[in-house]
Amino acid sequence: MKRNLAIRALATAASAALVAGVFSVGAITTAQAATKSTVTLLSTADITSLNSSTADGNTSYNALPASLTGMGFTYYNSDAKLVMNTKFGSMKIVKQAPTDFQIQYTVAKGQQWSDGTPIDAVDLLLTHVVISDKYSKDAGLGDPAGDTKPVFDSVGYGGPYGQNVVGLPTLSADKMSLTVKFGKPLPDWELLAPGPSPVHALSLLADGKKGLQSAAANTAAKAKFLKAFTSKNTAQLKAMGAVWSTGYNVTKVDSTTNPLLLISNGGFIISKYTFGDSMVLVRNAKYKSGPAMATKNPIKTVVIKVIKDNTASVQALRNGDIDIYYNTLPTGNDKIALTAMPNVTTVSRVGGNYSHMHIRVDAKQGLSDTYSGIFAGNGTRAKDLRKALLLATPRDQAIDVLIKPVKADATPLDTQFAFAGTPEYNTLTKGSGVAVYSTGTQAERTTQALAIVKKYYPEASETNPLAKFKFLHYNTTVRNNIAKLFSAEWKKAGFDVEDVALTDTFFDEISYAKYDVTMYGFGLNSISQSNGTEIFKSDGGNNNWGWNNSALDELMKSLQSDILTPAQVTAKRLAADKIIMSNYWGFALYANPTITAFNKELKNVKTAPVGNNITWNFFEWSY
Amino acid sequence: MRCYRGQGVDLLQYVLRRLGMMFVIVFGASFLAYNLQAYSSNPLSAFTESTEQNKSFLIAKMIRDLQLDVPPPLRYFSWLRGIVGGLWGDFDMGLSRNNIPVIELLAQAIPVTIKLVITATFLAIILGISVGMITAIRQYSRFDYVMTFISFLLFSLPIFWVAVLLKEFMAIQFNDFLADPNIPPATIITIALILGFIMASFVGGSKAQFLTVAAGGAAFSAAALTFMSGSNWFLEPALGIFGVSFLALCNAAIVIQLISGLDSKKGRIAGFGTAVSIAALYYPLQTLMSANASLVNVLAIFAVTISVGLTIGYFVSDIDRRVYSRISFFTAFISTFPIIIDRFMQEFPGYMNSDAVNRRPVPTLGQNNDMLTPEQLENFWVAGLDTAVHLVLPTIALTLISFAGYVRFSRGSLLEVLNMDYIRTARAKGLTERTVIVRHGMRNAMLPLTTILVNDFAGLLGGAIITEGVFAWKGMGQLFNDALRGYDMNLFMGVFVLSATLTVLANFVADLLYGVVDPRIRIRK
Repeated sequence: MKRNLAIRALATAASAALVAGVFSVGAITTAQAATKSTVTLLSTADITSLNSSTADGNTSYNALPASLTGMGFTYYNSDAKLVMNTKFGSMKIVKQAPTDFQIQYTVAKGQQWSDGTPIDAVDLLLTHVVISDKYSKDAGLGDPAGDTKPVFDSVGYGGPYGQNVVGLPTLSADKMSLTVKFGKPLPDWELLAPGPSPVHALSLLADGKKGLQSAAANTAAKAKFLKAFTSKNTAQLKAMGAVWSTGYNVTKVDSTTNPLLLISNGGFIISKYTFGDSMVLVRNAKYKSGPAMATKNPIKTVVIKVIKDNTASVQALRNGDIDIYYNTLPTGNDKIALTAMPNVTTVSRVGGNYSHMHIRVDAKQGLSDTYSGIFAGNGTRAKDLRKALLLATPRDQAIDVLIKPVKADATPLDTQFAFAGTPEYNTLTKGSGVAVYSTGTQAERTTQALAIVKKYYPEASETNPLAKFKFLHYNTTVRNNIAKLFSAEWKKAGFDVEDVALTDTFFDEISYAKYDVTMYGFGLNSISQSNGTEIFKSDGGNNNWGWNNSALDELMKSLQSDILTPAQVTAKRLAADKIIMSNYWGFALYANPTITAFNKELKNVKTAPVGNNITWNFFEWSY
Repeated sequence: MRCYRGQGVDLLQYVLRRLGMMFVIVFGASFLAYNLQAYSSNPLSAFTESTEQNKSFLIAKMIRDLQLDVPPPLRYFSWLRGIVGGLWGDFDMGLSRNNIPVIELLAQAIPVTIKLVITATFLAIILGISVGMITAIRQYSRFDYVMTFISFLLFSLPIFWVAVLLKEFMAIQFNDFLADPNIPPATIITIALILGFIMASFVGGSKAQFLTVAAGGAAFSAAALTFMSGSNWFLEPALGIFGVSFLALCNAAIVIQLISGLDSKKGRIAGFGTAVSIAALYYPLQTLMSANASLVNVLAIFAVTISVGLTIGYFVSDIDRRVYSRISFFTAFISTFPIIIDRFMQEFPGYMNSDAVNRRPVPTLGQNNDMLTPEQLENFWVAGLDTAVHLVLPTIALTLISFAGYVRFSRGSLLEVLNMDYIRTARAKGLTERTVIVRHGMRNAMLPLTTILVNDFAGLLGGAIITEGVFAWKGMGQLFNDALRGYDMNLFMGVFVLSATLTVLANFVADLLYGVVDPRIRIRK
């Protein structure tokens, strides 16, 4: 045994020596890494199509590459302002009469698609095809609202452009301008600007072409599209529609991909893509359709990495696997993890989404339903109880617990018509009467509320809550936590609340009068004069609570259809907010915060609350 | 389960009956799954918070596109029509919600999943079974207790958490460490002591033995770590001819011990002889591994080393040629890996300093680096290295998690076999302990493992839902997860039917295989 041991020890020592000799020593070449020129973006869902207007699920994620490969008349900046992109073109009202409203769109000269084909106003016409219901029907391409998919299977039909456009848009003689006629003035006409599409490529693809063509062939293809468009040539349009609707849904882009699918007028052009994994975009040498790229160390390559797991993307940011992280549903833990990272800048701000709490007063218009809960109608009792409920709703507490860990200076959102921090917001919130819900402490407000409740339920108290109602919200951690806070406070004011959390049936239930009070969110994709009007109009699509006030309807109708000055808009919104507050219908709770965190070395990353949140100013990025 | 053999007609009947049953099972399961999924959620919920101006059109469009106005049990049959269409050559798994053919998505996801899971599965099986069998042989030893503890610990860890830790320590911290790869002496001592005790617990024996081995192991580790730290090994890793020789000799020792026992002189000649000649081939083989090599070159290298090994094995002895050839074969086969790994290591400094990698070689997620230059991608070794660094974390995570099951199963199985009468008989015959355990024990202990192995391989294609998610690999698991959450009925059914069919088939194959490997089950009617 002794001998054995000695041998073992010896063997171990020998092998130690051997190992020491094993690893060869080399001179160290500490190569200085060149200046980085790649930005890796995060996408939390799959990119499913190179055409961002088709897929029914993920249009907003397909918009991420689209924002880098296409530039149009406008974009939103980080202040949620709509910026006119004069490099691409301009637009103006050329006629404004009650039944004849014309807008002229002019494309700036000298721009080219990435294959060298000049960009002109013909490239704007495809937008008309894919958002005008009437054109689709007239050209024999199917009724978009019918039982079968139309040839151009787009998500754009049924909107204000399609509903109000009259006839075909007309081209100027030099084909650089397009005039569109609408049947009535449209207040948000700037948002209806048609976007450019490489129609020559679509025409070539429909003809089965597999690669880039000569300049002459491109010109001919564009002319062919124009002819098919104006003559409503069903057969030719059908061939193009088939390509438009499904041809762009590829799962891979590599050297074998038909380059006609990738033609771009944005800063970048897609070079590589694998479904569910990543997309690589490289500089478009012909880019002229937007602000010039940064001159010093600009971005040469953009990678979009699909990561669905939040923890994974936070760690990926720390390890440098991605450069920009963006989260629309951040938690306090995310913020802590991100701010602790040495290599990252973290920015919290409010996004385009907000949470609200609304009280039912009647059944939703258009439903065969009745409502007879404690808040029903416009009698003094119902109004008093609604006011008491709002007074007893601890918005500040919810913000302290859930929002402040992400955005330390968060405050309650006091109007649903304007973003916090804008001059309009201050005007609206000072005059509307919403201030009573922030006056004094919550305890004082709850005491006031209990006093009101006691008028109708003299026996009511915290231990004996009598005013019964049902509160409906989504079954998520955040919503459940808010509901717990609210219910506890409401009880102190004498309300007996039944807290209902639903997941999959929520959408079916919110419109029905089974519930008295609901809490959820609204999202804004654009900033327009008509924002919020569908919530407050008595027949509005988002008015689920039976709110009905004729003066308010007048104001909403005006905001939806009159062309107003900013001052007029603010005045009408203030009048509307006053009516909403004096009826105690409910209020917004807070603007949902977002977090952006990015590589410290990357300059000029600014998040926008609406539109292309991250990529809107890619041209300013640099290292 | 009985399997008929000998009478072809009976076997055919049996197979047909089983296939018929499988058909019914898959049909029933798919009907149930379709309806459960269809009723479980409401895709229109997506519009709750929408303020789109054409919201009502979008709602109508979704109802039309997803046939939401048709009750799910009926909708199931419109899906089934596409599948049954396969009978007359009109097979159609439908389109995903994003209008991509489901079959195309499956075709893209299957290789991804296989790439992700296959290494980990093999590693887990090999490590799990060998550790399990060693613990059985040394039941109630220190090693047994340690491994039992470790395997239960691993068994109970959630993989998403393991993944977070692995990423933090093996990617983020390791990459940070590479900025200045010097290990402080205190850390070296701590790591060396821990490694020493781990090695000693493997070896076992009396207390004095344990401590000696622990001390030796710690000294060995300390020497290795000091050398690696001092020589910038982490930035320019290499095995070199010495490392390759050392690993080949170690490997030969293990192979000899398992096949003939280390006391067999001819066995030693076959094993160590092969190891030495493999080491001698180190420089000549480098010529086969140029930058424009391919998988063919790798196969050629194996062909060279294995034929050298077999030649040695053949000439060692006239008697028992098979035994010595086997020793040489396994020694040659396994010892070739260090040569290949060494070649990959040679590319590491260049890879690490390239713009795409930016001196952070271990990524936390993804399948490959999207920014590699075309030249890098064309270089077999660089591309392979890139795949390897992306696979390293998910493979470790998956191996750790699934390893434990194999340890417990093979341990139990071998223990049961070792208590059999025929083992006692074998010992009574005077066979050496090595022969008893390797020939009579281990072989029989492998029988019950057949079933789980076959099922595990069928389960591979189902994907690893969580692992794929945290490492951002778009495989079958993620496809299934997306379909489930996104109300993508056709995609959901595509993944479901594929994995259901494979599972049922695997069960069937396992039953057939069982009849082949276990003579006791071959019952004539």
